[in-house]
Amino acid sequence: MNVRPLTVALGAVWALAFAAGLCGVAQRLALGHEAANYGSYIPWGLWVAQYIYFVGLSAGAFLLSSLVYVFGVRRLERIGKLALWTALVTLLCALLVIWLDLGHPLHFWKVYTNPQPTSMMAWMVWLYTAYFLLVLAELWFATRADLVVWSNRPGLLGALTRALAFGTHDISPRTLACDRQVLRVLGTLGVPLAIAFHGGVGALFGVVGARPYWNSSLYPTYSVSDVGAGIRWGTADFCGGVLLDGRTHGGVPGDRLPAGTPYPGAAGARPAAGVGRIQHQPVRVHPSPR
Amino acid sequence: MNTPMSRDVSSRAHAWSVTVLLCVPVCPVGATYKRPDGIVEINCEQCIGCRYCITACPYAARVFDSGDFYTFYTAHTPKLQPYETLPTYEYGKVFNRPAGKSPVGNVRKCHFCLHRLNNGMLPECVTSCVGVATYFGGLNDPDSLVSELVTKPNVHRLKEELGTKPRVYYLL
Repeated sequence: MNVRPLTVALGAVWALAFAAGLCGVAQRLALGHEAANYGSYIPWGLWVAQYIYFVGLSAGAFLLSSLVYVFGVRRLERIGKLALWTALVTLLCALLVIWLDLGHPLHFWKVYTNPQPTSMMAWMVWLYTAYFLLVLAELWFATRADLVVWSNRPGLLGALTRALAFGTHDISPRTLACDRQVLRVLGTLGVPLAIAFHGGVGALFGVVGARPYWNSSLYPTYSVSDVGAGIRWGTADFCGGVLLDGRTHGGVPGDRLPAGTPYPGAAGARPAAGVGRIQHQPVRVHPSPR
Repeated sequence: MNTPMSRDVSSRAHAWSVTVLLCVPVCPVGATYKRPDGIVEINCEQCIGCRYCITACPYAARVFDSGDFYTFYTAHTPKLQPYETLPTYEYGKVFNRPAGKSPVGNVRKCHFCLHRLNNGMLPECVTSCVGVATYFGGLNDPDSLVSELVTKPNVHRLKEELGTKPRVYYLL
């Protein structure tokens, strides 16, 4: 197996970072917040900062995917699924981090059973829940064809994808066009939702009158810069996939389908009739050899 | 500009109900609230420890209980002192901090020694102050000592520009 030195180096960096993170989580679980020992003036620390970071990435990656599924930018077709996947993973990272930030993580369900509508934090939790379900649904519709194709494989992968496909087999162009319509509706609902939950995070800080540097109606719009970070993250994902794979796709399962498979996202496939307004153009990432 | 006296008299007429609390509306689970007598209480069973109320308090009146003890970082006291392991009696309940359960992981604040007030005693800080510098009482009663004290011209309150109308008065 041919492994590039770059892959090894990045893998080593990742493993080191993962080990450091595990130490932090172990300390959090064993000692609670004793190490940080928050006071009245700085009650929030690294956990909250990480959470804001991941939430911005999630919103940005989702809006990047909406370019494909809502606005029909076919030039970005190949990173649509990757962007959705990034949105889901970074959202889960954000929720995990903020969950560990709570003094009583096992009491988190009280936000659902006894929410207080005057609190921006309660609003945030509801919006996250709605957004999480929406991203899950959208990701399923975006990757359904891949799951169907992969479910023919033997072994664990086949069994897993068969289970995840929920018994659907049809990947005819008509069904796929139908999937795209569902994606379009979900994505259209998701764009205001993504802006709302991230604006909500900004409002969470903006409404705090006791903190002069937070208390500004401009604070919610800081999400714009975060969303930009998310888009850059999605793009970096794609370029990283190209860098490590050496191929002009982001390592998304659908892009590995053989040419001619009737799937809109597959390499070499023609877009289904009536889907997307802009003609498909191949993405060229590597400069052509001289 | 209003003199402190006239301002205090006008706000005293509304008594507790006019106090504007910034910490109460931000709580996502409604774990902190104002009692009818005006004391703000925290329900430790309900509190999830998110610390949003700490950020919202302009007076730094709230603290997070991380579960550490005073001797934790102190030299020459290698082991936990017995007085630190005694139970606390907040809000009429018994809490054992060494167990690592509530109020560890919760937000805590001064509750004017509710357990003493319920037994007709003054808060401990008032009783134990060697300089007799602190007073406690009900502003609803126009004949009480504190009602008389807050009408003095040397009275002031912290961060009045925020409009919170705090009930802690400083006599300078």
